Amino acid sequence: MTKHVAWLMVVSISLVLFNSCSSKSNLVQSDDTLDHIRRTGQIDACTVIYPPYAIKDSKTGKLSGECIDMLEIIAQKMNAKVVWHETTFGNAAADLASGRCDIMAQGFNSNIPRAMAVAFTLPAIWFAGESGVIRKNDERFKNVRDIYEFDKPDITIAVPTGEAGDVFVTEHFKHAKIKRIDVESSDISRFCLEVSAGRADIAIADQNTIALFAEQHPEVIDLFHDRPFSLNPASWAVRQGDVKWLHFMETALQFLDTQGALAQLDHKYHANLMHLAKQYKLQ
Amino acid sequence: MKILLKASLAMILGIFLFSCGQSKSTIQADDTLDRIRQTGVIDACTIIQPPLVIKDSKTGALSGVFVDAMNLIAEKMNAKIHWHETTFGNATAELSSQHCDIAVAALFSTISRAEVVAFTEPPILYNGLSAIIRKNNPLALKAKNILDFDKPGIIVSVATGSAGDTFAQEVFKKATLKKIDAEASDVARNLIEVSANRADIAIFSADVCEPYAKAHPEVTVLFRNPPISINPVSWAVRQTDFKWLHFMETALQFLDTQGTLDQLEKKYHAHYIRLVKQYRLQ
Amino acid sequence: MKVFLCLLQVALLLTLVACAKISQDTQTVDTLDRIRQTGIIEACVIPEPPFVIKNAKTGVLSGLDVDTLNLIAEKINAKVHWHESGINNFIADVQSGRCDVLAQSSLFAIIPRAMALAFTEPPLIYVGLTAIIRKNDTRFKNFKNIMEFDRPDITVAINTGAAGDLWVKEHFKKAQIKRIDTDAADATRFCVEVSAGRADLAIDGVDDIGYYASQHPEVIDLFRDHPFSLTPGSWAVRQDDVKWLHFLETALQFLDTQGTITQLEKKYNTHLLHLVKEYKLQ
Repeated sequence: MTKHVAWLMVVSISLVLFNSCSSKSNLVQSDDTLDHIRRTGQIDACTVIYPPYAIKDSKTGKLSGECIDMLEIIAQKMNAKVVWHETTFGNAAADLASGRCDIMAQGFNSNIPRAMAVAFTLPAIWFAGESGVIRKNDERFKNVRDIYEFDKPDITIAVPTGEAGDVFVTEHFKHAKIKRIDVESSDISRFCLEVSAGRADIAIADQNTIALFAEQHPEVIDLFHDRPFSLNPASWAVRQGDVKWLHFMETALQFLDTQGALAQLDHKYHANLMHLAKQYKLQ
Repeated sequence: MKILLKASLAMILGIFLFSCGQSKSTIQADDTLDRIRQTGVIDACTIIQPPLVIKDSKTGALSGVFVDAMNLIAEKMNAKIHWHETTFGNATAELSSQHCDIAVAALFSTISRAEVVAFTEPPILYNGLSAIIRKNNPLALKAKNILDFDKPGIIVSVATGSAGDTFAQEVFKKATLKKIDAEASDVARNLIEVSANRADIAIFSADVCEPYAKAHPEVTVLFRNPPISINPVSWAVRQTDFKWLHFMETALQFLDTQGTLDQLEKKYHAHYIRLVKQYRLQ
Repeated sequence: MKVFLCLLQVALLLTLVACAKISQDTQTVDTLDRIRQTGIIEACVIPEPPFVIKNAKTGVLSGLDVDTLNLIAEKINAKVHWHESGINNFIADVQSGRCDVLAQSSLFAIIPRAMALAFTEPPLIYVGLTAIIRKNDTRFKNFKNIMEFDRPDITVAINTGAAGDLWVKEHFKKAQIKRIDTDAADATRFCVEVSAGRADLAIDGVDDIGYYASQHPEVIDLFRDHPFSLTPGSWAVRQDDVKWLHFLETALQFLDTQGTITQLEKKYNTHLLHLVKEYKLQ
């Protein structure tokens, strides 16, 4: 081997290896789902069956609902298709982390512990207050205005394990008896039956779950329908390092909101979760 | 010798594996902010659209709500701006190719554009879609909703690739769409189709329809307030330019809070849709 | 060949060192990951009631921002190591890694600062300005706008370095400015200049001026209901700490939505300007 060739090899190998390490001080360890979607034309999305935001036809298995429609609209504008994966609120963060899906397209309460594990789209899309059902003929609570009036030792409260209602009573209630009921996506309001059956005095959960149950069960009333308590911001979520995808999704959601698409979907599906009121004015 | 060879091979393998590990899940982030700190120069693309971006036809000097706002930001950065003129069709390519580091223009932050650039959030302002119609068209007084124009035989003029084009394609099923290519120098060309009686209505952004109607007494503006639809307007940067993006969002938020954007709209007699903000002591 | 291999060894060693540095660089921008591992948040604050209150005897910290970050830390099973910083060195403290956040909502998110640090968006508070004059001073009976006070015959008392000072430096050209140094124990000392007839006007934030006016019936708070020059206040982190920044923004949004921030203001008997938020079913 000649000297020149040897030198050339040393220099070129060094350059190639140095470049592959790429000494830019602003190197960020991040995902690039957006790039992946450009190449494959496919969005892997997780959702939780939670009407009317995600509804599963029991015969055909077809999905519909506000979140389904939202992501399908976005995908259409990206010339991409959505592959839907069913998950639960408890498993969604793990499904994102493992790459089973690249987005959790469901109203996921964007609370602090969860924000350690996933990146929520900001600002929040929905603001979910909480409410409760009581038996219609239960005279004791006719004039109750404040949820805290239920924090008494002689009151039994049914909540879905691990959900917003459970979180609320665990943090705020000291005296009432709490009855935690495990729920599955197929029967998310099972815990409310405790009230219908007389085994609990009130069932507490997010205002959507409570409203849906009360609509189907005339023996109960949705006590805080007009003044939900304990507002929780809820958003979609992506992996934390997926910065381009996160920002893209925030812009896409903002676009749907500005164009009135979210409001139209709320009407289409008779949705029960709140939004930040926006007033636009011509200057 | 053999040892040297083995050691070299081992190191090459190590570095190769390391670099593989890096490149699989690594985005090369831009650092425009850092470069501006060093050079004191901001390369900004812009698109002429009065009153947001105005070009003096004699001197070529730029002014307008957006130009003034960006100049104010640059001043506070002790930086100067090199302005580059571009078009709605080319703006994202100019950013990607690094011909400029920010698009200071009335870009609608649509989903398809957001796939290729990062828009500042929240939107700076909102531009409504309105329509132009001849005053002597019977529908000028009768029409209550844009869908009243979705009838066979009605010709709707839109600028190719514009928000009006996207809207019309999605919404109109029966009317005939007439797409007109517009250039930066003549964004309102599709409105002329109405004046010339070659279209019944033209759909375009409200800030262009208004001055056109003022200058052309044969037409009037429909759906001014409320508009047909509201489109968010933002500036754009490259998607990997995280620090620069967040800096610009903070800078725009500052100008908005201080009332500077309001003052600039008054200065240029601009009438855009803004989100109502009310501040209150808790 | 031996020479070649030796040279190759040197080149590879240098590359390995560079790779190690890259690896280290990458690690320094993941505060969230470090907090997960260590359970410690390094936070800087600048004593300034009611945002950050330092007990003079025990040195224990409390206040709006201290309580807010403590609440966040509690929810992620972490604890906060507090570091005292100052208005002149907070940027260096965060950039150097002495702390990972300047948890100070009274820190103005202004453009020059945004060049150095990333502010949480949207702003946590807004500081509006107002002014007091003596109630019996009839010269200003019909004054509607703060700019009307920019006259050579008017003396304006200002708290040195505070919001009012920043504002008059930029906006007042003619008035006489009297800067008064204050400390945490006597933050409204500059307002006494008006009561005592040594100044015609005092300008500062709605909270300090409002408090002084409530205690001194001889003065009136001119812009109480419509403060001028709103300035946003936010927490700040290193610019490339993207995951930590986004986490903090989410956490602060959560506490705001839950009404926790409002409750903390009640706890510290303080009234700050916030954007009015109304939630409704569409």
